[in-house]
Amino acid sequence: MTSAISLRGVSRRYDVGGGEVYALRNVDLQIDAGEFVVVLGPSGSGKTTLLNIIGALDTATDGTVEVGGHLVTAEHRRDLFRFRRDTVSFVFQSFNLFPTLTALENVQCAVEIAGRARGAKEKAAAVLAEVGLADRVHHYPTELSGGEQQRVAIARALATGNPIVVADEPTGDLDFHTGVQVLEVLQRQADAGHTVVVVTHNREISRIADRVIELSGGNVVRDGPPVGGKSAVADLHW
Amino acid sequence: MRTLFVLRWSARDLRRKWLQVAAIAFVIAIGTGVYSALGSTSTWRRESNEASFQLTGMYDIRVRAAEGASVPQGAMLAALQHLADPSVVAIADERLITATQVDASTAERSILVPGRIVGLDVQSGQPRLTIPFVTPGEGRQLELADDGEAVAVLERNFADFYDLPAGAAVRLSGDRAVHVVGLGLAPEYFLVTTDDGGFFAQANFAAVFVSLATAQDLADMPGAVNDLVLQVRPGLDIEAVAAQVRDAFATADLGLGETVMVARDDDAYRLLYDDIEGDEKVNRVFAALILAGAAFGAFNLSSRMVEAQRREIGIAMALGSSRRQLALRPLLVGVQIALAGVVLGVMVGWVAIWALRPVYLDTLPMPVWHTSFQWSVFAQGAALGFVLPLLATAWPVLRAVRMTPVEAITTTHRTARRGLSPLLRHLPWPRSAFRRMPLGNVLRAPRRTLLTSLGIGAAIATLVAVLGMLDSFYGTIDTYDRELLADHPDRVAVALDTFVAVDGEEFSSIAESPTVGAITPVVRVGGRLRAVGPAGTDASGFDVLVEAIDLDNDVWAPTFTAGGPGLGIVISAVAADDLDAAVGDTVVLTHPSLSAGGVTMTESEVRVTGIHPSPYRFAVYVDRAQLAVFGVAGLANQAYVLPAAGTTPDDVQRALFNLPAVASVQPVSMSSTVLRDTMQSFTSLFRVLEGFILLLALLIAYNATSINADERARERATLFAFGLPVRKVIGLEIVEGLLYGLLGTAVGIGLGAVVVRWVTSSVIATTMPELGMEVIVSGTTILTAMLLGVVAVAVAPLLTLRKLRRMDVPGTLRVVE
Repeated sequence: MTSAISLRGVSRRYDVGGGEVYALRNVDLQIDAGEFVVVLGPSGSGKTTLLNIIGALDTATDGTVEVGGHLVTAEHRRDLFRFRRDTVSFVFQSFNLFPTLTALENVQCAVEIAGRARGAKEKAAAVLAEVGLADRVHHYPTELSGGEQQRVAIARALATGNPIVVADEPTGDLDFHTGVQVLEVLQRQADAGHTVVVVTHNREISRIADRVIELSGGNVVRDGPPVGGKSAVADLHW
Repeated sequence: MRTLFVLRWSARDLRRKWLQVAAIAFVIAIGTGVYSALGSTSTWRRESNEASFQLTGMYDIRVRAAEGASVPQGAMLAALQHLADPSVVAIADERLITATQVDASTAERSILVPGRIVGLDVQSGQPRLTIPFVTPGEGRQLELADDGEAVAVLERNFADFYDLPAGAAVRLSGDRAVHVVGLGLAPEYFLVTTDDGGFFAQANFAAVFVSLATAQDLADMPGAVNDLVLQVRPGLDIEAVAAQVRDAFATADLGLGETVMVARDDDAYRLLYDDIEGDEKVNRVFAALILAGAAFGAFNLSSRMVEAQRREIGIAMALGSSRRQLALRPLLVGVQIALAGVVLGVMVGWVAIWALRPVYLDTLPMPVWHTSFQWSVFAQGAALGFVLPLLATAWPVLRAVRMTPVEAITTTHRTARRGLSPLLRHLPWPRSAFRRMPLGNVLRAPRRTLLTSLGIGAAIATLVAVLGMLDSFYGTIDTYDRELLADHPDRVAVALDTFVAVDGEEFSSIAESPTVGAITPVVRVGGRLRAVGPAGTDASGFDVLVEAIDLDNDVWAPTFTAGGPGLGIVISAVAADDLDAAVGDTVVLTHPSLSAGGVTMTESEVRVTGIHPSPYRFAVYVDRAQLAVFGVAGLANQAYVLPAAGTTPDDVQRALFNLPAVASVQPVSMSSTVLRDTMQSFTSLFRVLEGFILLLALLIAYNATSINADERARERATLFAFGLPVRKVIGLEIVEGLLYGLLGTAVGIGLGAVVVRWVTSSVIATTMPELGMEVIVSGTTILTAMLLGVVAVAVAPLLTLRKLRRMDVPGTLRVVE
C-alpha cells in the first residue's frame, strides 16, 4: 500500500519570548491511503500542529512532508493553495460554516473552490444525502443543530473529492449522540478509500481507528492499533 | 478591577487598534475641524468689517447733495452750526464727488469705464474720513502736498481686476490725466456697487480719490463741495444725531436737495454685513453636513469596533464583573477616539482655516482681516465630536451587557447570524454558491449594512451637495452666458448719460462710427414689479431693471423659454416664481414716466407675454413699441452695438468712448465676468470643502473595509483552508465592497441632490434673491460620486492585502474574537 502521508524528521519550532518552543520534535510518520488514523494527545501535545502541517496550513521548520504525492515542504506558497484545493479537506471543531449560505450552498461552494463547478450542486446534494441531511439542504447553519452543522462541514470536506480528510476535534463541540453520528460518517469515508486523520483528546474515539498515534510534548510516544483492538462505533461511550 | 488596571488594558486595546482608532479620530477631526473653520468665518468677517471700517474712517453720517447740486466749500460744515449741540460731531469733512469716465487703458487692452472722482480733504495732512487705505508696496496715501495736484489714489478692487499697478496714468473725462500714486481700499468701495444696484462691480466702475482741490479742478467746479461725511462722538445715538443733522441742513436751507444717511444706508457697508448672514446660512448647512457625515461614519465605525469586543465582555461577565466595570473598558476606547478626534480636530481646524483664509482675502479684500482660531466655535464642534463616539461605543456595550454571558462568549453557530440572507433563496442569480457569498454577507447583517451604507452615503451626500452646488453655480452662469452672448459674443453695451432721440445727432454719431456694424436702441430704467393686488400690499415685490428693446432686432434680443413677444413684459423664471405668475397673467410694474412735468413713478398693470432664461430676477424686457408708456417714445439711453466686420469690441470702445452723451462702453461679456466674480466666494469655499470631503469619504471607506476584514477573519481563513487563493478572497471582498459602495452611493447621490435642491431653493434664494439658481447635479458629479463611493470602497480591500497574506490561518480558524 502506498503512503498517503509521509513525514520525515519533522519539527515545528516557535520563537517565543527570546526562547524556542517545540510544538513538534523530529516526527517520522507514514500514513497509508484509506487508513483511519486518530491522533491522540493532551492539550499542547502538538496534535493540531501536526494536522496543520499535513494540511499545509502551517509549515515545518525542519524535515520533509509529503502528502498525496506533493512534497509540501518544497512547494511554493501558490502551489500550496492548489494542494489544499485538490488533495486535503478540513473539518474543524467549530465547523466554520459560512452563515450566509445554506447547507447545500456551503457544500457546493467547496466543490466550486476545488475547481469542479460543473455539477457542483448535484454533487453537494448527493454528499449531504450521504451524511443523512437530504431533508436539511436548504437550511442555513443557524437553523441546524451542532451535529447537523458538523455533518455539513464533513460533507463539505468530502464533496471536494480530495483523497485526504483531516478533522480537528470534530466531536469537540458535540454531545455523545451527535458525536457518534459524525464519527460514523468519517469511518464510512475511510471505508470508501479516503485517508482520514482525526485529531482528538478523547481516548474513547481512538477505539474505532485503524491506527492510533499518541503525541506528548511534540514527540510521537505511541503508534499502533488501538489498545484492545478496533471497536465498532456502536461500542463507544463517553 | 481597579481603574488603573482598566486604563492600562484599554491602552493596550488602543495600541492594538491604533490605526483604526486614528482613522476614526481623523474622521471626527475632519468633521469638527471643518465645522469650526466654517463656523469661524462669520466672526472673522464681523471683526474684519469693524476693524476695516474703523481703520479707514467710515463715516457715521453722510450728507449727500442731489445730483448736480453743489455749494461753496465750507457751507456744508457751516450748516452743522445749526445743530443744537455742534459738539456731538467729532470729525466732519467736506467732499466733492462727481461722475467721470475713466480711461485706464494699457498697451495690451482698453479699459474704459464709468467712474467717480472723490475729492477728499487733505488739509490735516491726510484724509481723516473715508480714507482710501493704501497697503504698503502699493504706493502711498494722499497728502497735503497733493492738494490741487494731478495725483490720485485709484480704487484697488478696480485696479486689481485689471492688474493696474500704482504709478500708472489714468485719463478722466475732459481728457484730464492723473498720476496714480497709490491703490487704495476705501470703506464705501470695499464692495464695489453701482448706482443701478450692481455689486462686485469692480470690472465696470472706477473710483478715483484725489484731493478736494484737485477734484474741484478736474470737475471744473472751483471751490465747490457736494458731500459731507462726519463721525459723531462715541456713545451717541447715531440715528438721533442724523435726525439733528437733517434738521440743521433744513434750517441752513443750502438748496442741495440733500439726503442724510447713516453708514447702514451705504450699499457696500450694508451688503458686507448682510452677506455675512447669508454666507453664514450656507456655511452652517455645509458645516452641519460634513459634521453629520463624519459623525455617522465615526458612529458606525466605533460601534463596530466595540462590537468586536463582545466576546471579551462576555468573559468578563462570566467572571462576575459589574456592569460599570464591563462598560468602562469599551467606553474608554470611545473616550480615546473622542480625545484623539478633538486634538486632531484642532489641527484640521487650523488647516481648514489656512485653506479658507485666502478664499475670503481674495473675494473680499478688506484692509484688515482677523482670521483667528475661534475657540468657542471649535468647542461646539469638539463637544459633538466628543459625545458622538461615546454614544457610538455605549450602544454596543449596552447590547453586550444585556446578553447572557454564554451568548456573548460563544463564537460558534449560536452567534452566526443570517439576517436577510434567506432572501437569496428567491434570487436565481448568481447560481454559483461561491459567487453568492458577497451578496449573502451584505444581507447577513442588515443593521451593519445599513450603517455602513449610510456612513458612506453621508460622505457621498456631502460631496454631491458640494459638487452639485458648484454645478448649479456654473450651470447658472453658463445659462446666463448663452442668453447674454447668444450668437454675438462680441456685442457691446453703450450706456448714454441721458435720454437721446434715436434719430438725433448723438445717437447717429454712434451708429455712424465706422467701428459699428449694427446698432439697436435701448431704454433702460429702474422699476418695481409686484403681483396684482392693492397698492401697499407689495410685500412680494422687488426692484427690476426694465429694458425696452426691439424684440425682433438683429443685434440682440432675449430668447424665450415660454411665451413670446407681445404687448406686455418678458420676465425671468425666478421673477415668475416669486410673483407666482405665468405667461398670460397680469402683474404690476412700477416704472418712471416722463412727461412735461418731469419724471413720475407710475403703476401699470401689464401682461406677462414671455419668460426669458436669464437667471437675474431683475431683468425685465418690453418691446420698444410700448415706449409711450414710459413717456420716452423715440428715445434711448443705451444701445447695443455689434462691431463692424474687421473690428473688435476694443475698437468700438476706443471709438465711442469720447463721443458726446456716451457714459460707458463695455463688452457685454464683462457682465458674465462680474457674475462669475459674484459667485466666486461661494465656489472658492466649495473648492476648499471638496478636498476635506474627499478625504473624509476615503477614510470612511478604508475604515469600513478594515473593520470588515477583522469581522470576516475566520471566514477568510476557512476559504484559505479550502485552497482559495488570496486574489480570489480579495475578489470576494471587492465584490462585497462594490455592493456596499453601490448602496452607499445611491443613498449619497439621492441625499446630496436633495441637499442641493434645498440649499438652492431655500438658502441661496434667501441670501441671493436676485439670482434664479438652477438646480444641477451634473454627470461629472455623479461620476465622481460613483468613482469615490463605488470604486474607492470596492478597491479599499486591496489595502488589507498585506494583512491577508500574513494571516495566521490555523490561529484564526481556532480563535475568533
